[in-house]
Parts: sequence; structure tokens; C-alpha cells
Amino acid sequence: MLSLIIFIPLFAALALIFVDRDNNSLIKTMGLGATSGVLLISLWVLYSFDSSNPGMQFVQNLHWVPALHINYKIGVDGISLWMIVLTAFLGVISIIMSMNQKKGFRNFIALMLALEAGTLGVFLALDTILFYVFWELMLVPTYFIIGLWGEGRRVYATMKFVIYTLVGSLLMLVAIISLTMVHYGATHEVTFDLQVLSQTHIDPFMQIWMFLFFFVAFAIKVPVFPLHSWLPHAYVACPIPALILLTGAMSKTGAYGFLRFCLPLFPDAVNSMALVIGFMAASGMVYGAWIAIAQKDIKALVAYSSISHLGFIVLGIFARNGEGIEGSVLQMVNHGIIASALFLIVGFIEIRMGTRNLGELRGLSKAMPVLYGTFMLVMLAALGLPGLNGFVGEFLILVGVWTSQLLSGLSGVLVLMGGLSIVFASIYMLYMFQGSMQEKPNSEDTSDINANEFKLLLPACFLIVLIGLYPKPFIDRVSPSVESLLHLEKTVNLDAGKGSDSH
Amino acid sequence: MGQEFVLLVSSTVFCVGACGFIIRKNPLIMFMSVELMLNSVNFLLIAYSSFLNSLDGQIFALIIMTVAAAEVVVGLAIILTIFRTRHEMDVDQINALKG
Amino acid sequence: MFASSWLILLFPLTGFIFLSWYGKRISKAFVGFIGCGTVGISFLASLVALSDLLFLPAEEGVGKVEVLYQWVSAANFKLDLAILVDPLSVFMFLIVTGVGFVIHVYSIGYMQDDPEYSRFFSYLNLFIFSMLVLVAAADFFFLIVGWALVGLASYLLIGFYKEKTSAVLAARKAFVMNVIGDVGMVIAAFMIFESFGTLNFIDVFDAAPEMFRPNDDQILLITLLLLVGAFAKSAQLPLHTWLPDAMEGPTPVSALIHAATMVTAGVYLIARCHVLYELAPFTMYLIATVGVLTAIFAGTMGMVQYDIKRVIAYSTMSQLGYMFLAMGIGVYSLGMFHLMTHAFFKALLFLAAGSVIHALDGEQDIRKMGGLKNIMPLTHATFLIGALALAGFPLTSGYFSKEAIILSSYHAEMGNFVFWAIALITAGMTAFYIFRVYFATFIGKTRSPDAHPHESPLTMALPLVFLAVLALAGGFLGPLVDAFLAPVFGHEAHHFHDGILETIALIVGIGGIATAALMYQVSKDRIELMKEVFAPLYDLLFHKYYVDEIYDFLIVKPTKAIGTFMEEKAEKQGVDFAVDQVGFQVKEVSRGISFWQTGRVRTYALNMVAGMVIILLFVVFM
Repeated sequence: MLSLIIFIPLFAALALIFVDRDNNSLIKTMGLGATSGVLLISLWVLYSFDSSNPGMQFVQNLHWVPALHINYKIGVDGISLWMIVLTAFLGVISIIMSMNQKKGFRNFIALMLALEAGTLGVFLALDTILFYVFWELMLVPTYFIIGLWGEGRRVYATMKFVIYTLVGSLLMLVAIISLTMVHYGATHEVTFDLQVLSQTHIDPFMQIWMFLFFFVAFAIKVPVFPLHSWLPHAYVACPIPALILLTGAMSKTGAYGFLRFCLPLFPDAVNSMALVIGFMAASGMVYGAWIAIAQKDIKALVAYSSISHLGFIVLGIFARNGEGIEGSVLQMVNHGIIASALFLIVGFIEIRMGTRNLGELRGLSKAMPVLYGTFMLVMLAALGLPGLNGFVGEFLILVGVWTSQLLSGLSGVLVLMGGLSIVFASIYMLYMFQGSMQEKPNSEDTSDINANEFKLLLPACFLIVLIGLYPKPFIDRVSPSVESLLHLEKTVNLDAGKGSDSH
Repeated sequence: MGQEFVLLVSSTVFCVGACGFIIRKNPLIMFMSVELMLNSVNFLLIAYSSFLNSLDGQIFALIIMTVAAAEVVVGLAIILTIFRTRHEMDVDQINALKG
Repeated sequence: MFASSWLILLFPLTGFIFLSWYGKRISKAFVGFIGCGTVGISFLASLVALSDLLFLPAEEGVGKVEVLYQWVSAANFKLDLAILVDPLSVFMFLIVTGVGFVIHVYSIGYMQDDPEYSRFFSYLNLFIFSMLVLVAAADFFFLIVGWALVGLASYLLIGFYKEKTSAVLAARKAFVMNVIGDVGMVIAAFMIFESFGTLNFIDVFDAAPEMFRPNDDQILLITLLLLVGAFAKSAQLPLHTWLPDAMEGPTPVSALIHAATMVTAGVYLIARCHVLYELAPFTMYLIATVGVLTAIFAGTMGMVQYDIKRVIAYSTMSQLGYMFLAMGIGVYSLGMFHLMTHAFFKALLFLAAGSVIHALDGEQDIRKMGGLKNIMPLTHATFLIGALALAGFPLTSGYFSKEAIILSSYHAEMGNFVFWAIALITAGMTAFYIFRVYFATFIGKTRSPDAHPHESPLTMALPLVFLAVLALAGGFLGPLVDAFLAPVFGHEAHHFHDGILETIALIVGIGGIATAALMYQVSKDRIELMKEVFAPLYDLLFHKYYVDEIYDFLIVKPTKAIGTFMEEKAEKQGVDFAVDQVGFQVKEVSRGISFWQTGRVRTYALNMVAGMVIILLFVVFM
């Protein structure tokens, strides 16, 4: 059942090759059908998910390459559950937003579906090689989408993005293979199954470099400062529909990787490196926000603000306590909703005004009252207004950081940096919002957003308020898995002397 | 003749051929040097087949001669074609595969 | 019974949602009806809560916490969505909804000609809702939520005339300063959670005395961080620069938010957390000091401003200083009493000023007013009452509350002579500047020949009368307030009586009024003379001590400059450059190596021979 989530978009993408290039209605139907199907299945998974079970649910395990003991194993737990729903949701929105694509419509939709399939696969995979395959699968469609349908320095941006990410991935591959080899050395059993490998005891020295290789791959993907420089180029060059998936779902795969791989497998390495990583994440928060203040292109502004918000998420993860990690998972969902809504709004403005430069946009609220209202709500969520969803995540993360044992040396500094980035967020968001929406308009002949576009923003607005008012159901589904994650590390640590025969 | 003599002659001729190949620019001369190298090897093989009382050396020498003949045919054809199109007899000028 | 208290919050919220969605489609009269109605119902519900509280048996404690549902449960962090109904919160409910209702009614008349009528009322309702959340919160988290929402409402209302650049900038300034305060409070919340394991008021305040010795580092930090929020919200030094600019908003906004309610949130915060502050005497001393310094600071600036609203704004800042002074020396209920009387007479002053502005078609410069006494008798009378109350004229409400604070600043355990002296001087200045405005606006010759002033309509006049009555009679509610709030603070405030000091204060007050009369009534040339004599001082005061310019120079410009710098240097020439260099260097190395590929056969042959030789050497020697 779970495999359908991955394979519906994948088969739809492949099937589109056989569809006539100009048959727009069929392409639209297939695209929408595939993504809606995925959304429905993911909602069903959400509904049937057992909140009290900390382990993997809906597991499917099939032999894939028996000679190498690589299995096709997928499953869902509290941490990946919301990622799946988020990606499915963003998939529908991005396909609807792609409807305006004029040239190469069929190929664009096919690539978007493939991208969605890859991202979903990353969140579901429980076998390290399978995870790697899906990780790389996300790259190929992105390369083409940015390179062919992008704008500005699109070839430069996509080359940078792909090669940069690839370097990280290759390091990750080395670590994956050596992980299996270490396990083989201890048990004479070759396996790539993540859950089995989590029980392996790894010598602290080995842990450090394996952790670093995984870390680099994920840190590039999220991205974490200072490995972020691909982001501004790629985000600005990327067309809006794909950008929604990129920033909403794909960036979270990196953070998810930290939670799924780095924390459980390499607890000693995390112990020693957490402070440095926490500082990097916090620096990214401040850095991204500071540069966003100086931006005139609203797309670049939102891109830099993403760097800032994603830094929060990584910081929460490396606080390595319940509040921090649960706050991070919640913030992953929040950022997915908020950032994609922001990019949608940027897209709407650009379609109507033909420019994204704050110097030329002015007083749009007069002609677009509905956009004004929704933009305000999304903007307030982005700057973390207490009462809306962004604040809940940020608050939990910072509480986690403050009370974290791992980060206790720098916790005050880190929280202050968080506070600084929140103040900056209010500055750049107000620059963007007030700059484009308020004061006297240059011309009044623009039309307001129509009903369809409003419907695209409506779910985001609804969720922003809902999660702000009642975050409990979201967090309740995440808690058990996070608790078991934290507990698992302690078990592995305790087993240090006994080797990996703890089961 | 002793083994040392054979070895000495063979390796000397081989070196002469190799140097000739490296130093000369005219493709025909380079070909002759290649033949020299092949011949020196032949000489060695035949001498040793006699020293070791085994037929293998002579058989292998025959194979080498066949290969040399075939190679000369192909090589001369290539040189002729190059000469006809470019009117160059200088090997150094044929560097289109320069990376 | 207490569950009905949720209605207090519910009605303004529904008002906001309804009006923002449907406001444009219904008639203005209906909008006004809904806008005022929701607040009116809230007021009635607050009265119900009051009676519930009064009839609560003593054993059940001071108040009740009403929980709606569990809001979050993440590891050790658990929080419920709950409100606290106790004397302090009910006191604030009544003030907020009561004064709020009156101002809503006033706005029906004041904003009558504005095309964005419904948007105004929806934002006003949002504000009332947010302020109620702030004072009703049962824990620090929802206090912060209410705090931020109030900041949001303030931003929306200051920037209401969104086509006016100055309004947009003022709104932004207010919001960013508010966020700074928010961050301070959030960090304080973390520290509280770390020490107490909970953010619930009742649990924290019960546990605090046992947990901390007075002036312990932790409690000092917590109280100081909470103070950052309080000072930002209540426009005390050094986070005060947003308040004068906030006058860009419509006058009812200034009355409601920047006089009666929002700015008092800081005072409320200290009252609510008095248990924590009592454990940090150093912070209390700091509060009193900053309060009294702000009072005199604002007083000096109020004396030279020409914009009628700005003068009143500075007087607000000044009076808030008095309230903080009271909180800082421990006489909490006196501070809260002054909060109440101030709400009455300050709202009155703003609304009366609004009446004048409305009548003169938007003129706000007092130099262009004058002689309105006979044209607008009602406004004149109410403004006079408000001015007398502000100046602390005997028998007005302001007299009772301000006097009590000034006396306590000398006699209270934590008071001292300096506090008293500064408070006294400020009282004199207050009397001076408000009467300067009075004389300039209402007495003498009319300096605005083009306008056709008229008395205000009924919807504006009635609120004025109502507030004037309260400004006069409110003073006698003093002992009631004291008794009502006593359970929250643990004891009744001590009322001091000192004939000598009271007389001195009286003389200073009347002296201020007289000076204003002299300068503005008798001879106008004297003003010009004074200005020339005191020119540098005058400049300093007029430019608000150049604080705005200092902030701009020290904070705003550097921040923007660093942002641009980071983009240029750090990003383009730093990190990005490094990454690009990696790619570039690889290409360079590749180009370097490709020299090997000469394309010439002979070089390749040489390579082969050389390689062969090396291998042979290896074989021979290893």
C-alpha cells in the first residue's frame, strides 16, 4: 500500500512519455490524478497511523538484489509521517501551479512527478542503498527543470546545484558502504537494512568520519551554512511550481537524514560535534536573515529567508532532546507550508506585475485586497508571530536548545542568535510586505488574484492558523518515534562494551 | 655464440629501433624503426629457442612476422592517405587528437 | 460559572472575523453596530466575571483557571489553552472593554467619512481581542501570544492610512521594537521553563519564593528579560521612540491603544509577576529609576511639541513612567489605580483632541488653533476636565492616583528623595504643557480662519461626557480598587498622608498651570524671547534629544549596511567564490594535465618507453 505512494507518480511520469505532446488535457488529468491519488493515500496513512506505536508502520520488505542483500524496504514512523503528507500536499499544489507552463508542458509535468516520487521515496526508504537511489533520483529531474525551464543564469545554477549535491552524495555512498562493512566485520552478515544497522556498535573514531560524510551530504541538501551557496542561485533560477517542491519537500530530506541516520547511528560523533554544528546552524539563521534584509528581488529575499528558517530546524535537531526534535519536525512542516505559500505569492505578483524588484512594486494592496490579506497572514507566520504555526515550532526548538545537555556550553549564545534572526525576520518581511503592498501605487491597472489562485493559498492559510491554535495532534504523532530515537541512542551507547549482539 | 652476446645484440638493436622511433619525424623512417624493434625481438626468440631446445620461440617468431606484415600494410595505407590529403611528411603536425 | 469568561474573548474575535470578511458588503451603520456591540457584550461578560469573583468563597483561592483543551505536549513541555480569572485580570477586562466600548462608539462618528470604515472596526475588534488574551492568559506562553497579537493590532492600526509613507514607516518601527520586546520575553520564558518546569502562572508563583534567594542571578535575568518586553510595549526608555510616531494612526487608535490599554501592558506584566519581582529588588529599583527618568524625559519633550497629539503622547509616556515608578517601589495597587484613572482622562484628552482635529478638518498644529472655547463648548469643557485630571488638580481622579504615587515615592520603604523630587518636577511640567495646549487651542484669538469648526456629533460627544464623568469621579474608586486587588498582591497598599508634601505638590501643580496661563495668555512675544534665549536647549528638546537620529546612526544604518556588505563580500566574494573556485581550480588542473596529451605519436612513444623502463627498474630492484 505504501509503495503506491512512490510508484503512482513514477509510473505516471513514465506513462507521460507515450502521451502526445500537445494533448494538454490528458497531461493535466494524469498529473492531477497522480498527485491527488498520492495525497489521498497519504491521508489514509495519516488516518490509520497508530500514534502510540513508536516503531515503523506499514512496512513492506521485498528482495531486490539478493546477491548483495539489498532489499526494497519501506516504512513510515512518526518522523516521516508528516513529511509524506506534506510532500503529497505540495505535489498537488505544484502541479496545479504548473498548469500555466507553455512550452514543453508534457515533459515538465513528467519531471515534476518524478521529482515528487524521488522525494517520497527518500522519506520512506528503510534500506540504505534504496535511500541512496531515491536521493539521487531527486537530482535528475531537478537538473532538467532548472536547466531547461528556469530563468536567469539557469545553467550555471543547475550545474552548481547538481555537482555540489553530488559531491555530498558520493561521500554518503562511501559511508553507507563502510557502514555495512563494519557491520559485516562484527556479525559476518551483509545487510543494508537500516533498522539492523542501527543496532551496530561502531568504534568512536570510525563514527566521526562516517558521521561527517553523512553530515556533509545532508548539510548540503538542507542547506546548512556555510554549505549553502548553491541555494540562492538555484532558487532564483527555478520556476515557481518546482520551487514549491524544492523548498517545501526536498530541503527537508536533508533534515530528515540527520534524524534518520546521523542521530541513531553515530551517537558519540554527535556528542562531540553537536556544539560546532549547532553554531553553524545558528550562524546560518543570522546570516540568511541579515542578507535577506538587503535584498531587492523578492524571490531572492524569500530564498535567503529559507536559509534562515532551515537553520532553525537543524539547530533543533542537534539539541537532541524531545522538545528540540519535535519542534524541528513541526517546523519542517511549518516551513514547507509557509515557504511554498510565500513563493506562490511571489509567483502571483510576478505574473501580474512582470517584475520582482521591490523598487518597482508599490501599493499593490489597493488593487489586490484578497492577496493583501493572505499575504499578510503568510508573512506573519513567516516572521514567527506568536499565535501562528511558525512561532510554535520556533519556540519549541529554542526551548529545546536552551535546556539541551548537548549544547549546554553555548545555549545562551545560540538562543540569542535565534532571537536576533527573529528580529531580522520581522524587518525583512515587513520590507517585503510593506514595500510591495503599501504606500501609493504606481499604476492601478492590475487585477486581484482570482478564485483559483486563492484556492491554492487557502489550505496554507488554514493550516497556518490551525497548527498555531492546536498543535497537539501534530506533535502527538511525532512524539513516540522521537522518544524511541532518543532512547535508542542511549541503548547503543550503553552497549558500547558488548558489541552489537544486543538483540 | 653465447647467450650474453645474443641478449646484448638484441637489446642494442631494440634500443636503436626505439630511439629511432622517438627521434625521427619521417613516418617511413619511424616504420623502419618499428620493424627493427620487431626484428630484434625475433632474433632473441629464435636464438633462445635454440638455446632452450624448444620450438616455441620459432613459432612465436613466425607469428610476429605475420603481425608485422599486416601492420605494415595498414600503416603504409594510413601514411599514404595522410600524405595525399595533407602533403605532410612530418609526424608532429598530425596532432588533431591533442587534448 | 467562570466558563462564561470565555465569552469575553470570543465576541471581539467573532467581530474581527465577521467584519474582515463581510465588512465591505454591509452598511456602515451595521458595521458600527457589530463593532461596538461585540465589545459591549464583552463588557457585560466582564461584569458577570466580576460578580462571580466577588461571590467566590475565600477558600477557593484568589481566582480560577479555566482550561479549554491541552494545547501541546512535547517531551517535558506541556501547555493548556487556559484563562485565568482573578481580580487583576477582571480589573483589566473591565478597563479594556469599558474604555474600549466608549472609544468604539466615538469612532462611529470620527471615522464616518473614511472609505475603509469596516477595516477600521475589524482591526479595533482584533485589538480588543488581543489585549484580552494578554490579560486573561494563565501562563507565560499565551501572555506572549497576546503580547504579540497586540503588537500586530497596533501595527495594523498605526499603519491604517497605508498610502501615507510616514504611517507605513511608523507602523514598521513600532512592530520591530515590539518584536525586540517579544524576543526578550521569549527568552525569559525559556529560563522560567528551565527553572520551574512549567510556564503556568500559578505554579511558577507558588514555587518561586522557595526556589530563589532574593537577587539570585537566575531570577534577576528572568525579571530583566521580562522587563525588556515591558519597556518595549510601554514605551519606556530606551525603547520609547515608536510612541510619538504612532500618532500617525487615527485618533481613536491613539486613545485606545496608546493611552488606555496597550501601553499599560507592561505595567500589568509587572503586577502579574510581582512575586518574581519581589525576589529581585535590584530589578525593582531599576524599574523605578527608569520609570521616573522616562517621566521627566517625556515631560521635557512634551513642553515644546506643536502637534496636539504628540504632546498628549509624551504625557502618556510620562504617566506610564509614574506607573512604573509605583510598581518599582512596591505599591502595586496604586500603580494599577493610576492605570485606571489614566485610562479615563488620557482617553478623554485624546478623544477631545480628536474632536478638535475633526472639526478643523485634520489640523493638528496648536499654533493654528485657538479660540475654540465658544464654538465647541462641550469639547472645551471635557478637555479642560481631562487636563485638570492630568495635572492632578484636587478632587479629580488624577489627583488621587498621582498624589498617592508621589507621596509613596518619598515615604515607601523603597522610595527615596530623588524619586520624589523628579516625580514632583515632572508633575509641574505636566501641568504646564497640558495647559499650554489648552490655552493655545481653546482660548484667545482664532488662528484658523479657513476652517469652519463645529461641535462634534452625538456619537463623539457622548463618549466625551462619559469619560469626563469618570475622570472626575474615578478618584473616589480608589479604596475600592485597593480592596479588590489586595488578594492578588497579598496586602493592601499603604496610604501615606503627609501634609507638607501634599501641599508642595499642590503648589507645584497650580504653579505649572499658572505659568502656562502667563506665557500663553498674557504675552505671546515672551514665547519667542524664551525660545531665543534657550535656543540650544529648545533644539535638543524639539528633536527629542536626537534619540531617533542616534538609533538610526548606531543601529538601523549599520544593520542595513552589514546586510549589503554580507551579500557583496561574504556571499558573492566569500562563500560563493570559494565554491566556484573549487570548480574553477579543478578545471585549471585539468587544463594543466591536458598538456600531456600533445597529440603527437612520438611523445606517446616516449611515455611508453619511459614507463617500461620504470617498471623494469621496479622489477629489478624490488
